Amino acid sequence: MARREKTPKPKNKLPGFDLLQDPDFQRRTWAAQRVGRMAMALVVLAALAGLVGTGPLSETSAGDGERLTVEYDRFVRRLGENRLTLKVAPGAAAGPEVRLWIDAPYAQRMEVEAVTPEPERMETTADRLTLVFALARPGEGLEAVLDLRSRSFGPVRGAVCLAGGPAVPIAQFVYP
Amino acid sequence: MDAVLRGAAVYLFLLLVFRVSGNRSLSQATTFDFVLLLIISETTQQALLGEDFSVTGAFLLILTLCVLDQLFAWLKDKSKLADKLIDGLPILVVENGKPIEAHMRREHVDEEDVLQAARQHEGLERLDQVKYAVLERNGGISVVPMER
Repeated sequence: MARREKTPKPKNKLPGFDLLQDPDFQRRTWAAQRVGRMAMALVVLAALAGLVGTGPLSETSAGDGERLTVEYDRFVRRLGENRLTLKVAPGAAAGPEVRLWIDAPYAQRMEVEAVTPEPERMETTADRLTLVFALARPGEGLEAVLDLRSRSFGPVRGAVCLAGGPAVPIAQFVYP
Repeated sequence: MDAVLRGAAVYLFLLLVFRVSGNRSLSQATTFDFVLLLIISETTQQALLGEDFSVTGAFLLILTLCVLDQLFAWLKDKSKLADKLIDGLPILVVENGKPIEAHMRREHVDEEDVLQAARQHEGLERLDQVKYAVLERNGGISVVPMER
């Protein structure tokens, strides 16, 4: 009984009807809900735009100017699929094969699930993962798609390189 | 983007399917309705999440569904027509103790369903004690008893 007296009872405007009412609190709740709803809608719009995963604002590309272009997503999600498209310009690789490498720390954080077309072989060394593609005709172009799945979250930096050329840096952010 | 689009597609598809199936399809009137609900939720889950196992993906999907729900609630507030289109209308199935056969047949409601509602909510025994029975928009049947 003594405990009950401590909490001030909200004014009851309906005598005889035991309904817990607190208009001030309710008004504050409604205001907070209005803000919350707008925030929710904004997050969904941001996601549609591609700030929380794939989408128009997420797509980006990097390249070394002419020989290699890398298309990738800036924002990806952990355990979600993301893809890296490597475009080798015609004439960029002189011999019968194209050697592309990815730096090892990146390859460790982004598990390579599939490569299309299938490379002839993959070579793993301490600092890089090399994909070797055979060309039907020497000097022709190549478009390789890597399906990746991230094992960790946070910012990820890596580099892709066409053998003999400069490294093309890529930067992604992985949502948890 | 894909999570939002998947969520929206599934939401709109379910809305359409249940609107076409009628008011009673999800009212859990029978055990099987409940089982149906479980099966649908299991099936939907795959389509919603796809290959995305991230927490962010799940949050985003929940947000998408809630925002869509609010959008539709807002739409229903603004437009009577939208309200009718989305939620349908209540349907009178019994008037002054007399079943309205045409309405009952179309909505797959029978006298037993009405009697069940009459017993559960009003403690009535016979159909002639029912003044009105209405199939509500949520699929439940509400009963107004005759004045005694």
